[in-house]
Amino acid sequence: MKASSHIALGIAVAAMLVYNMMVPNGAGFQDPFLARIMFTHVPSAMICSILFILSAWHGFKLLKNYNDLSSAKMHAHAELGLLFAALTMVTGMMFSQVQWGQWWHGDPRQVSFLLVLFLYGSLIALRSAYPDQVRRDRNTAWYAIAALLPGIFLTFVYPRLKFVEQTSLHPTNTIVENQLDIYYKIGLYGSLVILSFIVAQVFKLRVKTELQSRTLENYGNNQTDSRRPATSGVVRPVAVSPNDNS
Amino acid sequence: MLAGGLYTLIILFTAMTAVPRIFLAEEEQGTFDLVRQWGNCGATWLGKATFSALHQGVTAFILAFIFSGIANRTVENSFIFFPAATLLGIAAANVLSLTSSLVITANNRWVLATVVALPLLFPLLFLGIGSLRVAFGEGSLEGAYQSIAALFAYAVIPLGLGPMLAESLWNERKGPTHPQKPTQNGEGK
Repeated sequence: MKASSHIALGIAVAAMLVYNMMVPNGAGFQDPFLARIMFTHVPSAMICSILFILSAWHGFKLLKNYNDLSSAKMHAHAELGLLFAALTMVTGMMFSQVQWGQWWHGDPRQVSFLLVLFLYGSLIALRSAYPDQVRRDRNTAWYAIAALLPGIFLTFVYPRLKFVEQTSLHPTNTIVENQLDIYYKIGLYGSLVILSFIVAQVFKLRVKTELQSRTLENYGNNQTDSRRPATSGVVRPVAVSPNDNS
Repeated sequence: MLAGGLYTLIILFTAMTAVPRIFLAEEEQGTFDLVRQWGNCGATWLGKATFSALHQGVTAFILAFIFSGIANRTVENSFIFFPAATLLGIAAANVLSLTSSLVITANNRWVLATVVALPLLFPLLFLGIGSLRVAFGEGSLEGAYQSIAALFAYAVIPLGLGPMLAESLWNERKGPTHPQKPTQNGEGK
């Protein structure tokens, strides 16, 4: 990304922050100023859901045809998804404290999103359990695919089940039913676009560093002692005791 | 609601204790290698998963009688209770078969089997409570039917994914090979 693009993104972020502070306070909130938290909370939740779907998609591509690029993209999407899930959780808890008087309200929506967080935390735990790169990538890819269904269920289906809708305090279908005024719509979609740009930049950097680290890790592994490429399937003798070297 | 939650927890914990053993203990004893070399990996997985599903289904069914007796709770709707309890056992077994087969070669596989399975099993807790609370006389029938339909989906979907997963991860004869071929100057891509 060029320096001018960085400056443009910086200006856009600053402009959006100023706009978000200038919109009128929201009606029907304990602290009307805090209605602005939706400019971070809602886009973060949306971005995190998209990132998890993309992670599973790259996992699928990796299983179909193993390559480092798909693997790096899958890991980058999962890591960023986890980050945005945590951001959604934290902003949600802040809202819960102000609006409903408790950091952890035990609301079904809070619990279901915590499970999404656990789901992708497990993905990172699974990834760290394999020292072998290929095995690690393939196992993680399978988990990303398997976790997609419960992830979708917990994010989109569970909150709309009848008994959950009846007990949850979390608003549902605010955007679908067009309950936002024009100021909040601009703030919400503007924040979504700008956060998406930031995510795209961080994603590109993460993929680049992952690919470079893999190149460094594998450097020389495909070469023989004479610095020529080894033929496929070559097996090098390995000393298992000091006597083997003689 | 409490009775439904308690019973769901019992089923999930029995499944979490039993099912990973079917995969992990055999790997540690070394017999899994023999099975894998001689048999089709997908069929091996399906056999193990079917066994664990039957095992957990029967366990859940028997525990349903014991639980309703010990907890001294009258089951108001047996047509919801027994299918929900059995499906809960089968779904838990199938999900655990999937995750156990995933961590079979990992470091700390026993701990990881639980860590990886737990978030996938949590929705079952919700669905179990959603259906069993109706069986114990709380909530609407509509909610119970929704939960039973979701439990059925949870029980069936791992059976579709599992054989593919086993073919992809267990088939060491094909080997997980690194596809980056060395170029002429000896460097990777």
